[in-house]
Amino acid sequence: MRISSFFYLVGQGARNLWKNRLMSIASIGVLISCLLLIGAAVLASVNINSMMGYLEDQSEAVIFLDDELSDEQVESVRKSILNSGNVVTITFVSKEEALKEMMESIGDDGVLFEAYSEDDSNNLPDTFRITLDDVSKLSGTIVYLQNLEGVSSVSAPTEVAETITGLKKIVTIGGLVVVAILIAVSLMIIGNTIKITVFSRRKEINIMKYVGATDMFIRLPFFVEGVLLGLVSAAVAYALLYFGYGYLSQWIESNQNDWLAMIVTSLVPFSSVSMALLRGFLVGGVGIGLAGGALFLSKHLKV
Amino acid sequence: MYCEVHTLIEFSQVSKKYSNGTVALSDVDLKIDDGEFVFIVGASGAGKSTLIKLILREEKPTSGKVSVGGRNISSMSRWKIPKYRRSIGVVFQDFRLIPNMSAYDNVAFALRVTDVSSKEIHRKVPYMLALVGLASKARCKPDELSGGEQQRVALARALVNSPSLIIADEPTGNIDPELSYEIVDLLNEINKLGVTVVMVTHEHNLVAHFNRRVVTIDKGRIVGDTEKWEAAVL
Repeated sequence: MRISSFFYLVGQGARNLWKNRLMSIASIGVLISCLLLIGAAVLASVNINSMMGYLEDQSEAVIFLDDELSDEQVESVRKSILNSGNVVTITFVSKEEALKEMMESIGDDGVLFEAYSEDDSNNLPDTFRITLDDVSKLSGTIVYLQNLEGVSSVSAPTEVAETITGLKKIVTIGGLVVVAILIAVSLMIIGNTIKITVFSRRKEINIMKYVGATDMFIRLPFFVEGVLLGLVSAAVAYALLYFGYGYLSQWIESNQNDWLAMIVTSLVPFSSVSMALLRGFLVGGVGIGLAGGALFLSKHLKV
Repeated sequence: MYCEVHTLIEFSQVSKKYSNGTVALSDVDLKIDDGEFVFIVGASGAGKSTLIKLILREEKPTSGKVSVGGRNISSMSRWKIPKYRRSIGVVFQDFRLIPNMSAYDNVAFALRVTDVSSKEIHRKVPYMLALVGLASKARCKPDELSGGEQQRVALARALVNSPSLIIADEPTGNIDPELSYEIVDLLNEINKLGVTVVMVTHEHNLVAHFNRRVVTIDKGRIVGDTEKWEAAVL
């Protein structure tokens, strides 16, 4: 194919968009709606997962150490704890600090425990407080920690961990199912829109075949149209989602109450998902445009 | 001077049965020589359109062989069909012009699909439009032209690739009777230049007026093949 023919066909595809503007607007509208729904579902899923992550970070396990451990032994236990591979933060809380904390938490009556401040009378143990990377592996980590030399016992919120793990699974699977359903429905709607576009131009395609146009010659303008429709729809859907998400974030921040406070702290910034979303939109929009041209034209090319 | 005549189109024992059971053609044997002008006549449903579809390789015969230019087109692979069709000019009853393209662009389109350079397109298209008497209407869209004018644009499009064969499927079916003669006159002139013309029609007056070879089809069979119009055959 000549370069001039190629550019003629590309130009033809762009012109067809304008000539069939009513169908183009309908296609863009459908594609934008589908991409927006999918994008919103992805953002919701990412945010719910982030909230779960926030709850996960809040769940703390406490490791009680044996009495009379030397500084070297304590340091050795710390290293062993970190070696478990599932620890994000680790804080050493000495028996003195523990007592002080307890007295502070009780308030004015805390003075009653002042007598225990003497070295020998403080029966509280030294502890390590850890936050976990993955709470779903909590039981395995507890077993590992309990068997460490110098550790007397481990206290961990196993029930909370199980609940969070279960919720995370539901959110992840539910999110995937919702997105998959939306993608399937979108493909069906877009498929039908493309079918109508192709059907409305079947005579044109038929004429092209009679004057000896190759399949590629007929397909190329449709591909160009599909790609342009996909690009425009992806850009508009991305912009709408960007501004919509920004507006929602601002609203949540300015209307804070107890439960919204948790959302605000764990709200995923748009910038952290923007590139993945834009990539997905572009690949999805352009891919659907191309696939539409490839799939639904074939029937009319068999002349 | 001896001039050798070649067979351009040859149907050998061709039958065509559609998937719904309709038998459109039965054991058809037909030869059309290079440079001939042939009218194909017959009632509706006689099999005329199927004959055209087989020549255009829009359909394949159920049995038998269709050859055009010595090439068996029944066994031609799909990717070769576009190039084959470029050697044939086709004119239809409903003109089949692309509605959103001007007369110029409709004619130019047939050249564009054959990858002709823009320079060549600018040279050939005005010439063709002038040949069919539409030089002044090059920028008009099909809906701004009369039926006769649209058919002449279609004829210019059919001719622009310098085909060796013109297939005209009821080209006068949608235009005024007096203009019909103009169209067939044009086809006649084209034929004089050496282009083979196969024209399907059911207009007896037209066939009688031009006095050319007439092939009559009835119920999928050739029932008459005469060198000139014989009123009795229909």
